[in-house]
Amino acid sequence: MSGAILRSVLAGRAAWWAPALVASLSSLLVGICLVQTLGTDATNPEIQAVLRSEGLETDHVASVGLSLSVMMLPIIVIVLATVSSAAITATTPDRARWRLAGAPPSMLALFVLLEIVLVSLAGGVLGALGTALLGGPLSGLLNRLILPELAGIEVQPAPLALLGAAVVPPLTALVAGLLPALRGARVPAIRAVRGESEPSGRHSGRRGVITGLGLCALCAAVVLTYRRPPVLDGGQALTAGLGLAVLTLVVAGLGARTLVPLIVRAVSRLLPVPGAVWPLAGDGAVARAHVSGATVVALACGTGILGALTGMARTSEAISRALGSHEDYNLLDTYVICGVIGLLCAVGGACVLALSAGDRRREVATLRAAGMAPSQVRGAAAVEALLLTAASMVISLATTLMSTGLITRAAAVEGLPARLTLPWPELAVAGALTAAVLLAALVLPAQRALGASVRGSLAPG
Amino acid sequence: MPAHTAPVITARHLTKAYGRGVAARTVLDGVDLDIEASMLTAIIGPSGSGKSTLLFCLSGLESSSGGEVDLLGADPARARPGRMARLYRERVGFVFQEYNLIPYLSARRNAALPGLLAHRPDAVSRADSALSELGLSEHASTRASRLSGGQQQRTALARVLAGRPEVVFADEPTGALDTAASAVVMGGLRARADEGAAVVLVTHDLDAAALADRVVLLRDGRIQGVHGRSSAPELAGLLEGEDAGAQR
Repeated sequence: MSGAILRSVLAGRAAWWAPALVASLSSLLVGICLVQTLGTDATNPEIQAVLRSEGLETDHVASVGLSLSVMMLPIIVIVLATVSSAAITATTPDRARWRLAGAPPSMLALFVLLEIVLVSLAGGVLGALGTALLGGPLSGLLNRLILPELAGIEVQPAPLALLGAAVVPPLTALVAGLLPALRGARVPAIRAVRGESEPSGRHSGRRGVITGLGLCALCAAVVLTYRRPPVLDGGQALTAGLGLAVLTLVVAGLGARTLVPLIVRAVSRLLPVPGAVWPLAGDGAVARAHVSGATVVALACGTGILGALTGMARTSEAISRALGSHEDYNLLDTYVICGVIGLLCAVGGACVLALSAGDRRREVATLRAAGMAPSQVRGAAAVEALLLTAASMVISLATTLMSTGLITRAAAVEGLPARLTLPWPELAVAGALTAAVLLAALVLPAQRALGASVRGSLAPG
Repeated sequence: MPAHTAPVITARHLTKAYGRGVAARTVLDGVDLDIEASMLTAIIGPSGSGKSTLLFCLSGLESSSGGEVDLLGADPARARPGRMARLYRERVGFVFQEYNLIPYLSARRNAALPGLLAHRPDAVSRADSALSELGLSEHASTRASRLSGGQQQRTALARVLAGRPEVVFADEPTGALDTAASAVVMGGLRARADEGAAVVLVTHDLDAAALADRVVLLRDGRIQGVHGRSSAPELAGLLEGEDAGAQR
């Protein structure tokens, strides 16, 4: 039986394109960073000569790729977990049939995890091929962005970088896929085979406990680090701040189905707009918590890391200025890092929404039959995009505050003139980009659904 | 049978085919039909005869391949989507076998949906009275996804009763219901017709079709006959006669 299930699990998985895409993009990005690190190190005489002439340390440029690779790992785990979770939800009826045929949940969980790892490995191999082809030029571009004087110096992809690019996605998938696999195995069989939606609130108690525990852990970490903050010198406070930011995002990811509906509900109550479209969009975003939560967290990973890094840099800059320094911080390498992470997060968020397009097509058809005008359908999609953007920005702001606050606290403890400086321009740009991604990911499918046959869209299955 | 009035829906030489070339399959083949107000018109026929396709083409929810349809003065094939949307929320109602409610909205808001979309101030109060009429008052605040099949279908019917549309299209509305729930739904549709609406019902249920003022018998995409009010055994006889005729 296990062989049959495994064959069934591996065959005809239309929904697995999304995790495969995220895995291959992760692999390509990690690959580029590793090529940059390994090709720009002390063994590259050409680059070292430029660094020496600029009076910079020998690891000034190479360290960016390494930091970026390390920072990307938790982000890859969160994004891959959210996208895999959405893909698993899309294939629930298949697993339900196996449950009805007597397959034990542990076997299903194991096979789903294996499936995620194999899909990620396929994505990793694709990404490694991409790195072999594009790693050199793109790493050169990364170097040029960090230090314009490095323009024109070629970086060769090292075999170790290609190997890293291939194995990072399946290794992260082992961690990222664990919770989605366990959840995927607990399928309500009869309901799923009938195509009925799971009643909301069925697992809300357990989700509430998990979210509560996560928030408690975050609070404990904040209290511990804020009470005795690491020293600013040597970058320990920065590392701890970044750790707090990642922990905030992990907690947001674990509690996405609870936190995101809460935020969306609060925002839609704060801004009560008359008419049928606004409450419909708000209710839709809350009801589709498994989709909207995953999307919001995936996007918040990018904007939250941007907020944390630039917030800590701006606060450090403000402290330096208060001490008499007139040096402006160059955040170009930070923007490059955030841009790369943001790209991964945007693709992840868009993938999650794309996986739910079938449900939305049916809903749009039902609304059309009830007399919803095309402009109202587009309007509801746009309102939902804005509500999700607001939720994403709330999580990003919390992430930024956690890390930036720690730098301020560390400075205050060291007797330095501390002033919390939030990176509002960067957050505003991140918010605009998030809104653009969500508008594209929600309005375009709604427009496509408007062009589809209502009867075809309403047909069961 | 009520007195004849001007038709609110007309179909002339209506055709519908799926696929192209040698794979093309004709489902409707030159249907001519008039549907009058204040009448419940049932469309019956064997499986695959094109009943549901005819209903969807008449309503404009599916495009036809040829011929003409006039639905309350609009040609669904040529009308702009905005005009059809307005028609659906103000003058046309639907009841489907699969209920097709918005799962996360309450029964009240599902029933009030066309009125809310039309910014009608009394949309919710009309929905409440329709739900009360169908015995769903205590479930008005319950999400549609938590209602039973019968309750969901009654909610869908409440939407039609609250909107008071001039035309109601019902596609196998009792297909997934037990006898008691079927009786409630058919009673509601019959009442709408008695109040002046044109109700078009597609059904396999001959007891439901027996409540109709007129029965259209469809076979292989063609109208085989139009009959006045008939009992269920008479309709069964008509269907069997058609089967026997087809076999000969």
